[in-house]
Amino acid sequence: MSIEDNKYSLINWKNINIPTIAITGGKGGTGKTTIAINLAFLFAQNNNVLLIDLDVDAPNTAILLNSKLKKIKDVINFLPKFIEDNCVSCGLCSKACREHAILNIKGKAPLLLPELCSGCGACKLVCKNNAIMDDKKIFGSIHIGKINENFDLLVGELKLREARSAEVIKATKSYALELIDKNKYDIIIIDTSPGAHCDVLRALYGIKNILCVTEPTPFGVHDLERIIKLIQHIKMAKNVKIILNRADLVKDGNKIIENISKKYFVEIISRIPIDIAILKSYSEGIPVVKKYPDSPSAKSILELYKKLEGIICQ
Amino acid sequence: MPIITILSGKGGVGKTTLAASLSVLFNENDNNNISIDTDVDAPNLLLIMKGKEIESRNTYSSEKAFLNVEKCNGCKLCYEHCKYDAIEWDNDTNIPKIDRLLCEGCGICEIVCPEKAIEIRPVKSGVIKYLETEYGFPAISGELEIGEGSSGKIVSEAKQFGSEIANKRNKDIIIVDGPPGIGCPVISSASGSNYIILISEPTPAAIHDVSRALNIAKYFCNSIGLVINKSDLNDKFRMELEEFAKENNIDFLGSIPLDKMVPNSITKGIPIIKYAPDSPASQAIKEIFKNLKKKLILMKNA
Repeated sequence: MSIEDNKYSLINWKNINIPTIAITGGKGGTGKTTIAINLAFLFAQNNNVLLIDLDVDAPNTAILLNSKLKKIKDVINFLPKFIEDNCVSCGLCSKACREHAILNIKGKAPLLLPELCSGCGACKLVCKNNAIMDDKKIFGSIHIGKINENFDLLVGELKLREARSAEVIKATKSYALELIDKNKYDIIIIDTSPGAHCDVLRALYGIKNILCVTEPTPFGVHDLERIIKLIQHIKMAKNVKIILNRADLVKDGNKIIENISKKYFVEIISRIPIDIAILKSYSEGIPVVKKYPDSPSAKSILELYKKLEGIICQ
Repeated sequence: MPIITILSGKGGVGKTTLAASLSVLFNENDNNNISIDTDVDAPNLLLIMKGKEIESRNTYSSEKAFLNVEKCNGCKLCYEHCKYDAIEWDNDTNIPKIDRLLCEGCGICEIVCPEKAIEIRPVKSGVIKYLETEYGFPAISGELEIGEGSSGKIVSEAKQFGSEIANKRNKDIIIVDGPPGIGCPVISSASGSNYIILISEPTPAAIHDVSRALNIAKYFCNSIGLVINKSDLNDKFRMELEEFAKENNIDFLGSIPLDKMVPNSITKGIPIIKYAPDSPASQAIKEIFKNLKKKLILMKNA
C-alpha cells in the first residue's frame, strides 16, 4: 500500500488545514445534534460548511434539518470465501482469526461466523493454498444532503444488525476527505455519538476544536469526565470547551460541571437555558436560530457561534 | 430466569431512570431481582443509588500489538499491511510506531513480521463491579476503559457475572440497563433477553432511533414493550409512538409525563420512585411496573 493510496485514510485528518469542530459530550441526549445543526447553519451564512454526522448508530442530523438524503455508497468490507477444493483443513486461518470467526473442520472447508468477522483479512494472508477468495460484507452506508447553497450534509449510517460502527465512521471520514478535496469548504463540523469508546475516538481523531455538550446532573458530570479524559488521551485537539445545556435544569447544578472544568482546565464556553423554543424547533426540523432567533436558547447559541468564530480564526 | 433489557436507540431518553425505579419496585414487591448496567461506556445506574462494592473483576477482552524494537529490522511489512492506520513509519529511526488508540489487535502485523518483533497481547479493557445496593438488591456495573473498543465482550462478561450472582443469591429476575445506539454493545445486551423494553420520547429523532432499536430487539426477542417518556412533550408524536407500538404488534406499557422531579431526583442520586413516590412520573412508573408484571406472568404461563 503506497502513501498515495492512503490519501483519504483516517490518519490524514491530522493534517487537514480547514478549521474543524467536533461536537461530542459523553452522555446521550444532552443536545449534541441540536448544537451541531445550529452552529452549522450559522457558519453557513458566511462560509461553505460541511456537517458530518458520525453518530452512525442513530444519525439524526437529517431529521433535525428536515433534509432528504441521497445514498452515495455502501460501506463494504472484506469477508473470506472458502474454496473447498483448495482447502487442506490446515487450520491456519482459524488460528489467525483473533475474532474467533472461523471454525476449522477436518476434511471440509472451515465454517465462517460472518457476524464475528471484522474483515481484517488475516485469514487470507496466512492461507498457503489459495483457498480463500474475496467476498464482501456491507456494514453500512454513506449519504449526502444539501441543506442550502453553502451547507452540505454527510451522514454515515450503520446497517441494521451490524455491530461495527467504527468501520462506518472510518469510511465516512475517508469519503469526507474526498469531498473536501473536491469542494471548497471553509468549516467542517462533526456530530459524534454518545460515549467515550472506540467509535467516538475515531470520530474525534485529528479534530482540532472539540465541544463537549453536557447537562448539570451527576450523569452529565460522570460522562463528561470520561469524554474529556478521552480527548486528552488522543492529544490532538487544540481547543476543548464545555457547553452546559439546560443550564438551569436543577438548582446549583452548575457547580458540579464547574468542578470538572477546573479539574481538567477546560473552559465552559456557553450556558444554554432550558427553552421551549428549542423543543419546538427540534420537532419542526428547523434550527432554533433560524425559526426562533429571539428565543433565549437561540441567543445563547448565537453568542457561542461568535466566540467560536474568534477561536477557530486564530 | 427472565432477563428484562431496556433499550432506546437514542441516548438520554430515560433508560437509567426507568431501570433504577423498576429495580426498586421489583425488589420491594418480590425481593427477587438483580440489576446490570450494560451501558459500559457511560454507566450511570450506580450514580442514582449507593452501593457497597463486594467484588471487582478486571477484563482483558482487547488485544493490541506490541513492538520489540531490538528485533525489528526495519522492513516496513507491518506498516504496509496494517488496515487500521495504526502503524506510522518513523523515518528517522526506521522503526514502526504503533498507535495504541487505533490498533484493533487483528494480528496481521504479527503474522507478516519476519523477525517476530511484534506480539499481540491482551490489554485491560475494563472493569466489572458487583455491588450491594442500599435498597437491598445486588447490582452489576461494567465500565469500559476510555477509548476501548471491545464493548460487546465486556457486556457479555457483565451479564455472565450477573447470572452467577443471581444464581448465588437466588434472584430470578435480571434487569438490564442497556446502552444507546444499535451497535456492538446493544447487540450483546439484547442477545438472550426474554423481554425488551423500548423507551422513547415524542420527538422525530427519538422515534427514528427507537424504530432502529426495534429491529435489533425483534431479532433477539419475541416479547417487546414500549414506554413513552416525557409523553406530554408533543401530542402528535406521542400518538405516532402509540401507533408505532400497534403497527409493530408490541406491548404498550405506559407513558411517563414530563416531571421536574426527575432531574431533581437524579441530582440527589435517588431513584424517582423513592425520591418522590407520589410525583406524576413515579405514579406512571408504578403503572408500567404493573403492566410489565402482567406480561411476565403471561409469558411464564404460556
